[in-house]
Amino acid sequence: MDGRRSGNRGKAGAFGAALALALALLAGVGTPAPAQAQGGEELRAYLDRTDELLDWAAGQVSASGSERARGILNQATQLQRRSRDLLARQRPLEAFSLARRARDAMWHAVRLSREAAGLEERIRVRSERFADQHAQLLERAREGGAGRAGELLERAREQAQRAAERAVQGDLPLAWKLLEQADDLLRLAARQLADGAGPERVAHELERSRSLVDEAGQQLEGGAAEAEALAMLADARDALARADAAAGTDPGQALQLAGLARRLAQRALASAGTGSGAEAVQRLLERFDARAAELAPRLRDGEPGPAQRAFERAREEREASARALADGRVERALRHARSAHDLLEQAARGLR
Amino acid sequence: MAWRLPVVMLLSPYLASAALAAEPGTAAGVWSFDAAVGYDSFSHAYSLATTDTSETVSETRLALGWEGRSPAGGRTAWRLRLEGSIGTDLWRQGLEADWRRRDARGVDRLRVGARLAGRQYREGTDYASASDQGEGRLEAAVVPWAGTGRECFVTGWTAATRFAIASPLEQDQDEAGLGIGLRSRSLASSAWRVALRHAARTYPDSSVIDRRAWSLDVDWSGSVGVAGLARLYGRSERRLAREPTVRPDAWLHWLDAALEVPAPGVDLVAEAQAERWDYGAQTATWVDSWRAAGFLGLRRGDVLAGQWRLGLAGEVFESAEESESYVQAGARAGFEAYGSGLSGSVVVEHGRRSYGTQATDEALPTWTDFSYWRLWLMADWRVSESLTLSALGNWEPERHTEPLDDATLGFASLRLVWRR
Repeated sequence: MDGRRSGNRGKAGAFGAALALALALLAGVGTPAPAQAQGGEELRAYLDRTDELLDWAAGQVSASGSERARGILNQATQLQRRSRDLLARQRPLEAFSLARRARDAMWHAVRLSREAAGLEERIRVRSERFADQHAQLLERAREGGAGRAGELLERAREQAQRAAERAVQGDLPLAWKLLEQADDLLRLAARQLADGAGPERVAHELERSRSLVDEAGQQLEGGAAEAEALAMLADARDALARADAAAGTDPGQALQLAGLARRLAQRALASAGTGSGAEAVQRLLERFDARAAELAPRLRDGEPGPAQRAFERAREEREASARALADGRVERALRHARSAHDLLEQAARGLR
Repeated sequence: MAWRLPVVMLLSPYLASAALAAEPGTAAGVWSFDAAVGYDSFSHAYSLATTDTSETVSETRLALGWEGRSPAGGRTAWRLRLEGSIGTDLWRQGLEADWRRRDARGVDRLRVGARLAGRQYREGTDYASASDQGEGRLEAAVVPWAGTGRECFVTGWTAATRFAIASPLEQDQDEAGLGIGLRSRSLASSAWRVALRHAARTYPDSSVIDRRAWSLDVDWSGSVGVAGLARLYGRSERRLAREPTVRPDAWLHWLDAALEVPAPGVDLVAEAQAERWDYGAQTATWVDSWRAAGFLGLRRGDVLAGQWRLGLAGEVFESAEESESYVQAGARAGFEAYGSGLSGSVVVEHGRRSYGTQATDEALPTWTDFSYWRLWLMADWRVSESLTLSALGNWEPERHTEPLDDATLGFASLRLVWRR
């Protein structure tokens, strides 16, 4: 077909014909009239076929949402028209050159339109998913104070808006990339939220971390824990100390360090094989009961509100944990116990 | 249209504020302001038969935002955000409002949200499509039943987009939908949601592409083991076209999954995305296909001091039109840090895409193998308590076996943001 797509096996026949035509035209310069007439016929056939392909391509391109494909196809059509003009003025070499460029442009437009046809629907689905996720995360960010997660969510929203604007412009590949980046920003925000990035949570998070680090200390230091577990415990204590130090000046960093301390303590427990044991759950439940007993009188005296609701749900989680423990489902019991503690601390914050 | 929308949007927050003030106990909100000045640039470079081989659109803009929300803990909660920007190419306005009523157990029994957006292009804009536009969306959700750990919700929405001057890519459209679902309401680490939705989208100026869609979504996230995290999202959608010969009916199945599991010294990170499209009747444009992409890697370090991420990324695309099918593989490295002053992430990926077969029909496009680089950068520098300098950017060059198919996508944004 056209010399440009030299690696195209399927179009090898067309390419060969075009090459033969070009050679014939080149050889035809200065040759007798019959040879020129034959070359002119072949060029006309080539141009006729290009017209057919342009018509077919117009249907492909109009079905897609690619503005760029439309623009390039318009250019292909103009090149084809100029090629015909040149042929009419007996300038076959230039006519052939333009006709080849017209086909190149046409294939480029068709490729873009095929990419766009798929992207248009994918962008819609991904945008809807983004909107759902963004709304959920925004909700969580507001519950716990926005902080850095809130800023990331704002940037994700802006990036999704940019993607939507590029999609309206018909620049679908770039719109897709921008939407991917908006998703990346959402993931970062989700991780921040999972780590508890709200400034109001500093005291709560420090308390959680201290509780877990203390628990790990009680379990590991009294027994025959391995050096690796004890080293991780020491790292956890160090992170907790840094979190305490940062609490007054940089709440965000304090929260991150508190989260790190917890993860290290959990890993220390896990590596020592005691992190998910029934005894650990039992201790958590005992600690819950003691803390709940402290809070209960104050909660009874107050008016019904979020603190009471959190307390009620904390007790439900505690009961679920006890049931799971009785059934021998220790992992589940541990998760319920931790949720119960989280909710209890939420209730305590509500009383302050 | 062009002048009415901005006026309505400018008045809306005052009307909304007045409405909120009319309800005792809800007017004393928490308000914040933000202002930003920034520069955005989009570029797409590609070879073409004519001399023009690249397109770049750049815009400088000044944006202002004003946001208020109700204090935490009330039975009635609201949020209002108004924003506007003046750019060298576009003027934009946006309004978001949200109101909800909670019961004594903290369940959001009723929620109503509205969103309006307007864009006006300036004379001499570089944008190819430059029709002024307005968008509006109204949604409501009720929770008729709520148990201890889960709740049922019913949601409905309606939306409209209008363009001052219609074009093939700038078509007025309307949408309306209803959904019902069940979701968790525990504050515990695990959360899930199942929803069935039906939406109808209509195009007043081109009704042959009107469509309806039924979709089922499942979303779950939770802990794995002691410190692992997992997330799973699945969606199946049935699209029914008004005129299937123009745009055929289709089934879509979509899956996103992510897993983070601690291992000794590192975290194991795995991500996957898969989708499958089945059309009722295949045409030259719409052909059945499936795609699977994934990343498998390791993460190490403290995100405050610096965290590395290394791994392999891959993608497979199979289309009924074989010449489009490809396999792609690459290596990805990333670094991120969230300290108190400077934070951000940078990701670099290098790989290659190979197409299996070439088209045998002359009336089909051909695709050439290429190697690629992907660079993605995000950085925030907190200059002071209320001032942040933000940068975002990506650059993705493709180098094809056929040099005339080379292309590069790029985006860069720099903003100075003030928040109070």
